[in-house]
Amino acid sequence: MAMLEIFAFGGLTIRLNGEDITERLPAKAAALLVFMARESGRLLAKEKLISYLWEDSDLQAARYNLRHTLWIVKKILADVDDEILHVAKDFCGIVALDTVYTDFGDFAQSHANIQENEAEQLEKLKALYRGDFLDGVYLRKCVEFNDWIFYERESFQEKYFDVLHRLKDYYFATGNYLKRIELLTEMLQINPLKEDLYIEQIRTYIMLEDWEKAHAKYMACTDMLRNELNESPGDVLTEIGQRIKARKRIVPLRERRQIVMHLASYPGPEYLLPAHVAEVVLDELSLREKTECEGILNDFACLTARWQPRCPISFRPEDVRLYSSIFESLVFLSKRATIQLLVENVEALDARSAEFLAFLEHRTRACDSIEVRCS
Amino acid sequence: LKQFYYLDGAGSIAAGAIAVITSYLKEAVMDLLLINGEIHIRHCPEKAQWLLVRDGIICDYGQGEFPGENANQDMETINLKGAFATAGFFDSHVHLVQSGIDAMSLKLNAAESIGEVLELINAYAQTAPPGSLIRGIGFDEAKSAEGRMPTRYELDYCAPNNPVWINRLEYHVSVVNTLALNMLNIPFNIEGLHRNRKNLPDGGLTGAANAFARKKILQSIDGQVRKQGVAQVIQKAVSRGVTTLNAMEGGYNFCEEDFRFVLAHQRAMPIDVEIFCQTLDVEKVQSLGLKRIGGDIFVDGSFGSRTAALFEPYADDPLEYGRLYFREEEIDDFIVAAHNAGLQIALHAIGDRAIEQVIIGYEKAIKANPRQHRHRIEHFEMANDSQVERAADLGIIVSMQPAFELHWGHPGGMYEQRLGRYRYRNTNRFSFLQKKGLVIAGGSDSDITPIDPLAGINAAVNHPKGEYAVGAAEALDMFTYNAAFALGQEVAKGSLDRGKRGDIVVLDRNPLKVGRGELVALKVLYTIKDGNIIYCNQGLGLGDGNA
Repeated sequence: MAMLEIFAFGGLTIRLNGEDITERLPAKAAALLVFMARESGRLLAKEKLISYLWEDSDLQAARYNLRHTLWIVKKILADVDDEILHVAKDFCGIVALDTVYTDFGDFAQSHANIQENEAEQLEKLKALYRGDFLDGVYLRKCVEFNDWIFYERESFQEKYFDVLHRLKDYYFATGNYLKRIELLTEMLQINPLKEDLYIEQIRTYIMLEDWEKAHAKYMACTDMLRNELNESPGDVLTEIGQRIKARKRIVPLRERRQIVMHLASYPGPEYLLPAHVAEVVLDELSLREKTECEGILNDFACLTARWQPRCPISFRPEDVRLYSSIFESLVFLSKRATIQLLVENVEALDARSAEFLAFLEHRTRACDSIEVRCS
Repeated sequence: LKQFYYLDGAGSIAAGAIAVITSYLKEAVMDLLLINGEIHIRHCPEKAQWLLVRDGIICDYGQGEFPGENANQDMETINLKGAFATAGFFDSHVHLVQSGIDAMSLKLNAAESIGEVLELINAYAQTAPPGSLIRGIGFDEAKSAEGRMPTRYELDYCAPNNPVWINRLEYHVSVVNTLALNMLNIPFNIEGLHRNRKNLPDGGLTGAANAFARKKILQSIDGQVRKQGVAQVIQKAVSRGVTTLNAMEGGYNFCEEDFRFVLAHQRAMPIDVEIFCQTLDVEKVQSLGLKRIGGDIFVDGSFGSRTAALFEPYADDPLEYGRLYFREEEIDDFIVAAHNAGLQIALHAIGDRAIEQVIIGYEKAIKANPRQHRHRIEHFEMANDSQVERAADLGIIVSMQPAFELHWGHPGGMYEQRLGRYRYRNTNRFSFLQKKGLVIAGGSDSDITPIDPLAGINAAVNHPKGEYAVGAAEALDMFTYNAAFALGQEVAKGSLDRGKRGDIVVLDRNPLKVGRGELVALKVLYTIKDGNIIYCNQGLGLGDGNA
């Protein structure tokens, strides 16, 4: 059975049994084919197609043009298979669905079926979207068709942004900060004027304790705001900037003192492990550090509020906030000390403590100065 | 070998002839002798009749006959036949590359309806190569019959084969056609993408969407196009007697590529181009070895768009006070950093509220670190008495555009509409500022008004509010000595004197003697840079035997 493949993201390529036939198709024939493929499984009124592609011709000429274009398409496809395109008196369309593959159809279907916490599926969707729908395709004097491209392009772009957002939230929740930064960079390439994306990137660098890059991104964002929009940084960015500038010197890793937390587990009340960690951290922090840390926690609470609804882990939002706060305070403490958490008797952990442990293990993956060990 | 450009302007641009710049190599700079002229020596009440330039430097001048013992065989002589010579003109505020790009764009300033806009575009598209961008500039929808910008569908109709980009007067609003929208890949979720009833983009762009499109288009402009555009502007400036201009490049509303272009090419230009880098990045400017920072860094906007920041609201919009684009601490931090780095600073401030913000910043920086400086405020259109005095006390130089008054300062003009009948009388108070000791450097803000110092001199002398007019000598200073002072170059340029550079403009008549009403008719006969004739108005030239 012949296979027609249409790739419309980032331009247009049409293949028949693996052979690129894009150049063999006149522009309107290719446009017609894509339009019908987008509506595949349905027969389309010829009048509608005329209004999209020959609106500037009189009706008789337009009908002739459509008939001729359909004949060209059929002829090219019929060399291999006559069944792909169905043409009747007043209707036509692509009905042999199993013989046609479109990247946009694949994308739309996969997006509709997306499940929470399916990073693999999200990555597949991201890979499918190689650029805007029908990028660079423009038909002169075809207002309806060009508008249709914009409509579809926006719709796909919206879904693509949704995929990127979900992915970056996923990588955040699973502690893969570098991947999250990579995604934010991609998003900024599409729209370099989004202050909130810069802020997310800066915050991620701060969480990684990469103050140099956080500062560089902060400067890039303020430059962008001034040079492109002639705007001052917003309150959130200003506060972050002050924090970056006022940051205390980070003690080099080799000079930090070591804090070892022996965390015993035993059957008992829930949240035992997080409570224990929090207690040790609070003991270790000086009063001034606690004040500074409080700022971080408040700040972090705001941040987490945004991604909680999409959080792929089955945590309750209030738990996420709690665990994140404790983790952040650990990160804060780790600026001057290396921390080892030795969790003993793991099998005896209560459900929430086990969740917290899983959370910590994910989040500390990128931290050189915090280590979690279980026995 | 020195490469320079010679402008063969038969009949001059003003007469409509096509002037051609040809470049050639000249093995050595010849001596240049001007004789039989009225040569303006700024500090002398008497005019000189002859002046000799040797190796690009004025070596002598005097009255009566030129003493023959100073002559040599290679000397080039111009018999001025009573014409007036003075120091070459400065334009203290030019957006050079933007003016160049605009010179190659479709002008829509005169269009009074959408129909006229479409006709102009359609006519332009007939000769434009298919696929090439049509840039329309200067459309003022407020003056059009429909009171709106065109839609992308209308633009598609008149130029189906070309991407079209139409800009409003001040570039903050633009419209693209479908082909341009398609090519620009503007993200659909961006702020400022206008939509029609079908919720599809209608081509209108403001805010971030306009900034996105503008950056992408300006970045895509080929270096060759910039070169051609800038050559046109320089050619025109030279024909208007300009030997030094201040190029305000880069930053908001402009383009980093513009700045880099001027930086790379300024030495190859036939006149002195002093670059102002429009950035807040002090380290960047220092690392490039530049002495000046800022220019049109928009502390506020403009009267026309009601964005100039005022203490009292606009007369034609009582809820509008204009906009300050910086927080006070941002301006302060920038000024202090640039001042302490030893840079000259220039900032755009038009309304009294913006002027206040800048003066406060200068006061803080200068008080904390008193040093010699030539800091500037660009435009300074609506300063109150106290601000004028404080600016004078600080030694601030104001860089102003007298032509604005002739455009907007008349009764019923834009200033009166925006500011009301009392406040509009206090814009651009040249004579008052001078009396208070402020140095005023003259400019055009090209391409807001054309580069034409004589037009600026005429506007300063024939100020619509007579009490603020200045005399011709003071107006001439704005575009010569004061402008040189505003660059810290008054020792070498800005007036004719022994040891100064041979930058000279020759006018057909003496502006200090003609009546106020005749200033508008003055013509440039020669422009001379470092002793080289770079413009000769042959249509009005001084006859055979010259140059």
